[in-house]
Amino acid sequence: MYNSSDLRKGLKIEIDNQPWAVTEFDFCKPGKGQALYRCKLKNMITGTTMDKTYRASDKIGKPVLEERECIYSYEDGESFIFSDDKTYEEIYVKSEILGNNVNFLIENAECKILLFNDDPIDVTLPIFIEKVIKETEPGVKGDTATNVVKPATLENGYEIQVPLFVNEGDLVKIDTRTGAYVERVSKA
Amino acid sequence: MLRLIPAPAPMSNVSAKHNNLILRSRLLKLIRDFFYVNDFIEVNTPIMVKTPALEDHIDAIRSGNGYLRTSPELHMKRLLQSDCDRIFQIGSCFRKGEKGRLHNPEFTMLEWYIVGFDYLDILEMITELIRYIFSELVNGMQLRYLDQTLDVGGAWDKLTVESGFLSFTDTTVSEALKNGQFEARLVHNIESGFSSTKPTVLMDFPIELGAMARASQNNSAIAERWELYLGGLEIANAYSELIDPEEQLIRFKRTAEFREKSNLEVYPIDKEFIQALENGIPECAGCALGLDRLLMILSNRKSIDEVITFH
Repeated sequence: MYNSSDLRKGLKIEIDNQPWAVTEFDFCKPGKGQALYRCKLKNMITGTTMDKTYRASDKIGKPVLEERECIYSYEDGESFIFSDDKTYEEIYVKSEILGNNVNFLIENAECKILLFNDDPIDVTLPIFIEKVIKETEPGVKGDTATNVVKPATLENGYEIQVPLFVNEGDLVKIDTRTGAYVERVSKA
Repeated sequence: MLRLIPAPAPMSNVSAKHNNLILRSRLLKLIRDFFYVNDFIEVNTPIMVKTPALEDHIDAIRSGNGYLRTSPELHMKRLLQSDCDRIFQIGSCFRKGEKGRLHNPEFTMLEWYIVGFDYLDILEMITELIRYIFSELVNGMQLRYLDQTLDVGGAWDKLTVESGFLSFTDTTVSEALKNGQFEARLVHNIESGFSSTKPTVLMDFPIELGAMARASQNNSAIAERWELYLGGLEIANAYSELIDPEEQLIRFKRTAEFREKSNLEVYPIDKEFIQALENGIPECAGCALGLDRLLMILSNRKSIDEVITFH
């Protein structure tokens, strides 16, 4: 268990069998009274947020969280299967946990999986991945400006904004945190 | 008298840190001017003390064989006599574990005591002090604090703790005290309802929260205590001081029991202070003002870290 005095921004706590992250924190102590620890919390599974105030005497649950280094292997139609880097144990992750990250999975990518009571709740992908552009309007030769963009589609149907000079078949680098184009790696 | 060569005029791009230093220095001088003009003497009492004042919810930091003071209150009251009846002090106080937007474990306290005054007299005095500081530092009675205009020149809002609970909550003071919700109600419901454009005085606390305040003559369940809020920040606390040694000893013992039960460190009772009360301390009132928070308001800062030079 945690004490209220352990609370700080970034701490992960457990309430009613759910893991919550403290996203904002303030200590307050009105009029010589008992201390209050005011938190904004974010549910680490659903993403919902709430405000909660703890008193000095409160005890707070400590979630069993584990982060494991994994390699992405394959998809079986229901789940995405990763294998533990050290033990080779297979970890099954549902697509709703991956969210938008589904679009940036690449075989053998080194990922981090966060487990809560042994269940995967979050997957962190490599910051940059490379994908081939499947469809886009033909490039404008010589136009190297990067601030004018056009839509393009990846093989998996994900749509991304790219500069005008990018063509179908080009390999581009994508930032998985934002889902945005970073640069062209090689031409088709 | 020693006169140094005048310092060069400050450059226009003075850093925020140095602006803070200049403001703090000017504020300290104004406060001293105010108290000296009113025949106060400035005192220095020990920062390292054998035992801190016993309070239910204030924890002290150990230092050597004793503690760092959480407040200069007990030593200052021991100094009060008929020929030393107005004293003030500016200095650091220390409270363990208090760190937040409005708290730092080390902070600057302005504290003063005046014989013959009660908590209402000292309220008039702080009104004059705050207006004086504004007139000299802000060039008027108004300033902008966190997107609101704070005006200290007009009438100040005053409400009792009881009426605050009546107006802003669906519970009563005694009910909230019983189930440990007093502070949460105060913060979430009452303080949030205070005007941010006018100073607010929250007064007449339940006697359980009066620590070292005397009971009201009309109602023994009420302590003659107020808290002043400026721009929504709790800035000062004042009492008609309790000078009855027996009552004070009972309260210290009750606090010691409470701390024992709550698994908090129990500090020894300050026997020298009780002895001083037995020898006789005159009727007086005292006030403690958080100087860093006042600086936050004067310089329109959201967090105490922004006005403390090294934090």
